[in-house]
Amino acid sequence: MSEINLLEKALMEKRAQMQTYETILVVFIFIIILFLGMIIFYKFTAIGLEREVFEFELEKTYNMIGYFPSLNEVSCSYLGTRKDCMDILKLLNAELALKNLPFYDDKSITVKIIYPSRNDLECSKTNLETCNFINVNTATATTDFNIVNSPVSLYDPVKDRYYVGLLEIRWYK
Amino acid sequence: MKEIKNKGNLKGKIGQMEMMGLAIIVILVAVALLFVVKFMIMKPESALPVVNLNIKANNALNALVKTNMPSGEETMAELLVKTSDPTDTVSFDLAEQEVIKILDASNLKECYKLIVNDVSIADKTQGFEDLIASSSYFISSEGVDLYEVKLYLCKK
Repeated sequence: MSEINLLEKALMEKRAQMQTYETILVVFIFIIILFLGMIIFYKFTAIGLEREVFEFELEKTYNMIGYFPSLNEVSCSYLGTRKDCMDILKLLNAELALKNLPFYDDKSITVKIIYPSRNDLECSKTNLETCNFINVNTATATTDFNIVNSPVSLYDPVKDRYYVGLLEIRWYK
Repeated sequence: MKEIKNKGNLKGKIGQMEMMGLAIIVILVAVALLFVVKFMIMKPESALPVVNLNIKANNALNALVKTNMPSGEETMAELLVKTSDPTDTVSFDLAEQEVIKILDASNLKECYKLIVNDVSIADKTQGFEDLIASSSYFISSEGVDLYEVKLYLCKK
């Protein structure tokens, strides 16, 4: 009888040991899963935040594409009435006029003349008939940019002619 | 013997409880995954690209209609009015050629359709049906006739 008891006791001890190991293993696996979960959550959150920032900047730039051509500093007008176009002469001098606007630091703004097609040459007051792009603003950063563009109507007040232009806004990370 | 049988029953009950615990954990993980899928992966589609495309369509049409032809004083609006005359094929061909030239250069993914009074001047939509229309632009000719011009861009 006592032998059976001893055997049962030894068996119980082994079972208790096994259960302790099992508990340790479960806790260990749980911690690993917890860490994995935390890493995945962090990654998802970081990616989500990056996407939010990108979408916010994109929204800002889309808005800008909408309102930039109608700013008084660049839009063309006739007898004080604004018309749906951008004045090339105003664009040439826009840098000074737009300097204090809030979007100015991190965005590059370029207006290209796409019709009639011309050679690649930056516009100045002396070459308006042959040039094809005006750099309204150049941001300080130059790498990793995103670009949004839209066609715009350009007006040359010297020759009284309209051209088709492409307004390009680049923003940097 | 009875004691051993009771122990066996107890073991079975513990096994059942562990299975229940496992099932609850699986259900909790599944619910958590569902939340992750709902809030992180299946984000509602933004309306921004559509709004931007609409702005682009309106700007492109405005620029296109106003522009002067490189040869002479004629504007694109005047040329488009001429296309409504079915006998004037020269004007129609010239308008088609210049419209394609302008819109191809306008970075519109070369997928657009320009319509003057329901007559297609340039169509590069290739059967693409998901289109965004600009607002109608009305050209008045000799102060009487109104010509409706519309530009469609592909939503791809």
